[in-house]
Order: sequence, then structure tokens, then C-alpha cells
Amino acid sequence: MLKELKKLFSSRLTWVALLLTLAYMIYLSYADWRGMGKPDGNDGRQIVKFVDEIGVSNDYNEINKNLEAYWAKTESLSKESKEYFDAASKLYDSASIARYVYVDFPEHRRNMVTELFYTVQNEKGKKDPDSYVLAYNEKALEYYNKYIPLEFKSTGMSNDRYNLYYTLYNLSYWEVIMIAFIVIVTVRMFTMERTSGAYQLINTSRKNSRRLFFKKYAAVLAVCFLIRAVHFITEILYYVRSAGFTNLYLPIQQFTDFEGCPWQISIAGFIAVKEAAVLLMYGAFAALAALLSVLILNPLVSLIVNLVLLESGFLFYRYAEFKTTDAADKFRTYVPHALMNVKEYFIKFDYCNFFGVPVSRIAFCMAFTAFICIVSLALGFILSGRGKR
Amino acid sequence: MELQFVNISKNYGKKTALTNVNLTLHEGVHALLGPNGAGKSTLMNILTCLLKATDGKITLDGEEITAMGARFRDMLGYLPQNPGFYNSFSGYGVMKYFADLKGMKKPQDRIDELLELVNLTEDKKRKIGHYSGGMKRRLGIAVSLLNDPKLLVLDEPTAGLDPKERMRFRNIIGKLGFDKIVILATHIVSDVESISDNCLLLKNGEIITTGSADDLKEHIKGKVFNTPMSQEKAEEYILNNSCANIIKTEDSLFVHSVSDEKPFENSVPAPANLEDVYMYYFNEQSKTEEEK
Repeated sequence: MLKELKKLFSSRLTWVALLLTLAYMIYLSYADWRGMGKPDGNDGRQIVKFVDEIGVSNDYNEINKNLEAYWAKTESLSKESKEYFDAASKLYDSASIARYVYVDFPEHRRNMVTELFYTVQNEKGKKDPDSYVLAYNEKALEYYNKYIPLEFKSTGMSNDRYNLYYTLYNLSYWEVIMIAFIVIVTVRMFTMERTSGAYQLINTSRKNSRRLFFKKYAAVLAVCFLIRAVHFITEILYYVRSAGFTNLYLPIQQFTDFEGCPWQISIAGFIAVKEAAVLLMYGAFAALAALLSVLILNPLVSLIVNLVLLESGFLFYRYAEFKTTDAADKFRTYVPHALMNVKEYFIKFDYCNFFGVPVSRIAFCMAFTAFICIVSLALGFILSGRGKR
Repeated sequence: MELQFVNISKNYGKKTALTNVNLTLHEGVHALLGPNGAGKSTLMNILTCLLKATDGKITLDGEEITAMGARFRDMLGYLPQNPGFYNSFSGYGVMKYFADLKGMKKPQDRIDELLELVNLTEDKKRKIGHYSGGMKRRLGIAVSLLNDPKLLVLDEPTAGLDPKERMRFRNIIGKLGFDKIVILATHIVSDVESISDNCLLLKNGEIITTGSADDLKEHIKGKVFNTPMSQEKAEEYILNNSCANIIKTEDSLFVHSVSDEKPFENSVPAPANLEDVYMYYFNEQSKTEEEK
């Protein structure tokens, strides 16, 4: 694989694409990071202090009363000095987070469970109950019921800030560039021998170009994963700066967007799934681009077809996402591009109908993406040995 | 070892590139001669399994080469017309890379030996990007010899080489022909005249004749002439006769030509060389086609 990497980097095109991609990533990260200003600086101790002050951690009325008092204090202090205002605002944020964590989340969960319970009973009461609706709601009920007593400390990171952080590290425009990079590098890698004339020497050797197929694929993946690793490191650095390293084990549900997440998963767990999904998506794109590069002999045509296919998939996904119609659901089930926004799978009970059985949509999409990847690689491997026409 | 071409034909759509090529070759140097577009590269590509024949088969000791797969490739050394290398690799790096592809274990000694043979030892650490065309071709020759092939196929191996390198190359190939089947496609006939055991003349996809250089020269004995004439007349004659060339000596000028009949009264028979054979056969072929 190292020799294939060396070959890949012998091309100026690879360097230009790599440098442009990294430069664009650094620019976006810098611009957004700067735009977000200072981190919360609220590491959870503020909330503990607040809860200690009110004495009763799960009394909604008590928390609400104190929250109102803090808001009044914030308003009055803001007239005196900015310093007091900032301090009071921080306490107000703490109070808001505490209210969500200790009061709103369990309350909302109970409501969801109750609603699901009645839906299940209602379906069972019908003469001809829909087995899928029943299975779907029973599964949702099982999950939500299981995690009602989900108790957690807060990271102290406000929800607004979390959203900014998430948006920053899931930049759709960044993925447009990444898709282009994957296509350029893959097409270059798989058409290199044809353009240089080395394929004749390779195909008359014991290990012909078919034997090199997986080495080339591994080389492309290594470069893509390296870029993703840079992205991942900046993401973790930002998170740690905002909420502290040790808070990564806390449940993702503490951010209001994830209130409807049915699984017990930590922030670190969510980040891990997100990275795995994105890497799988990169793998599938590279495999598809490799297959098309083997099928289409002209490198330029191969590049154009790959770019049109993969970038248009991205555009359709974004369009469907904005429309929030059934199309978005279908995209999130069958199209690998949906894996660039993993959050969408975690904000509700997101299961799809697979022959009457409710199956986790993210699991299905990842499995389907893996299937595309494996089939593309298998076909690419078989067809890469053909030089005979 | 016996290499047999049995009724090999190749069509590209409606265009016929090769028609019923039948050959039987044994150890020795076989020069495949023919003008551009004759079908030499197509025949080479079919022999190296880079192309599939429309019809016919090639066998090595009775076994069809396409069925032999990696076993055949182990016995094969191939130098394509335009071998491509990777500019970021050094000469030694390329040799090591292809040694690995050819499944060789501990190839260092063999690499050093071959780099010495093609006179690239001093430049083995230089990047290919800094190699001249001739150096790349010499490296290609070394790569094709890496696995000590039993069947060596060389497509235009001397293109881009200077006279000294060509002589060196001829010496290398001359030695190889003892225990290998060497097939050498070229239209530079002077390169193969002294080293080939057998010449295969290919025109429009068909083998028109085969034989040793001496046999072929014998065929056209009495058909090669030198005619003394003035510069003006010679230039006029050359314009209308592609089968002739002007030869100047210190005190005279004459036209060297190949034809069935004595072209001028003052023409005198001259000894034939392989170039004359080439000119005679391919020009005759053209004439026949024109007549048709």
C-alpha cells in the first residue's frame, strides 16, 4: 500500500486537491470558531451550585421560581455593569439547563411513554390491528420506558452552543469538497497506469492490476481517513475547550435536540457513531468511484461521471432534508449521503419498515452503504483484470 | 520450447487488424518487421494477453496461453512500445516494484545485475522524472528481463536510443536468443539484421514471408542495383520511386534501388541487405494492392 501511496503522491493533482481541501477545512473551522466566540466556561459546577442553592433538585416549581428570580437579577444587574450581567447570565443558563435535565426531560419522557402506551392499546383494540404499527410502537415504548429514569449530570454546555458546535463540525459545504476530493484522488489512483502506459507492464506481471486493486483502494482510504482524522482532532479539541474532556461520557440526551433519542448513548458514543458512519460513507464513495474508473476507460469522462453522480446525490439529499417529506426518510434509509448528518437519526425514534419489522434507520442505512461498498469493490476487482477487448 | 500461433485474427469492429496468422517459433531471436499499422503491436498485445484475439489461439508447448494465466506471465517478459513509469520512483525503486509484482523474493542481486547490463548503475537512485527517453527505455528493457523470462517480447525496443546504446542493446539481445524465444517488433531493420535468427514480415495484418536474414536476402538476389547519375536526375528518380535512396561517396553519386528489372542501362547489381528486403517486399505489396 505504501508504494501505491507513493504513486498517488507522485501526481501534482493529488497535492493540489489535498492542499485545497485542507485549506478549505481550516478556513471554515477558523471562521466558524471565531464566530462562536468564547466557550460557555460553564463546566457543570455552576449547575451543581444552583441546585444546591435551591435545595430541591427535582422540584419544578422551586426551580422555576428561582429561575425567574435569576432572570430578574440579570435584568437589574445588566443596568449596573457588564461584569455582573455576564455572571448573572451564566447562572441563568445554568438554571435553564438544570430545569431541562432534572425536570423537563423526565416529564417529556413520561408523556411520550404514556402516549405510546395508549397508541399500542388503541391498535390492539382494533378488529384487524396493523402488525407493523403495533410492532413499531411497542418497540418505541420499550425503549423510552427503559430510559425514563435516565439520570445525568450536565456538561454545562448550553443547547444553543451545542447546536453551533454540531453545525460547525458537520458542515455540509465541507462534505461537498470532501466528495470532490475523494473522486479526484480515486480516479487518479485507478487510472494512473492507463494514462502513463504502465498498465501493460503490470498486466503482464504475475500480480496483475487486479492484485493491485485493493492496495490502491486502501491507499485512497488512508488519505481520506487522514483528512478526517485532522477534522476529528479539531472537533474534539473544540468540544473539550467548551465542555471539558471528562464530560464526554455523559448522555447525549442532555441536549434538547436529542430529547427524543431512544437509546442510551453518551456524547463520546454519539461522536464515535458519527465518525464511523462518515468513514463508511467515504469508503462507499471511494469504492463506487473505483468501480466507475475501472468501467470508464477515459479518465476525464470517469472524473465527470463520478462527480456528477456523487455530488448530485448530495444535492438531492439536502433538498429532501429541507423539504422534510417522505423523500427525506427514503434518503436517510437508502442514500449514503445521509450519513453526513447522523444527528437526524438520533433525534427521534427513527425506525423503518423492513418486511414488516421495524429496523433502526441508521443501522439500515449503514448496512446498505456497506453493501454498496462491498458490491462496488467486488465488481471493481473482477473487472479490473480485464484488458482484453 | 515451441510457441504456436494458430489462425490468429483480430478485428476492431469492421476493420481487420490481423488475418489468419500462423507461426511456429522456437528459441532464438525473431524479428517482426513491418511498417506502421501493419499489425505488429496488435500481434504483440495478443501474445501478451493484453488483447483477446477475435479468432484463433496461441499455444506454448501445446498449452493455450490464455488458460495458463499467472504461469504464462511468470515466463513472460514484455517491453511495450511506450512503457510508463512513475516519476517519483527512482530507477532502483521501479525495478523493486516490478520485481515484487513479478513475485520475486530477494531480487537485489538480479536488479543490480540488470542495471549494470543496461548501464544504469550510476543513475539507479535518480528519480525517473529526471531520466531521458533513452534511459527510460533501457530501464524498460531491464524490467522486462527481471524474471529471466523464457519468452521475451520487445515492441520497438530501440526507439529513442543513441547509436552506442543501440549497439549495446543488440549485444544483449544477441546473447539472450540462445535459450529464450525473443520476439522483437521493429521497423528499424538495421537493428535486427545481425542478431535475428528469423524474420517475420507483416503487412496489412498478414505474414507475407518468413526466413532468416540471409534467406530473405537470397530471395532478392539480382534485384538490387546501384546506378551512377547526376544529383538532379537522382533527386527526380527518388521522388517517383520510394524503393530507392541516394548514396554519396567522395567522388561519385549513385542511386541504390530495388526492383525486379534493371532500372537503367548503366545500373550494376549490388549486394542486398535486410533493408532492401524490407523495401522490396513492402513496396511490392503496395504495388499489388494498387493494381487490384
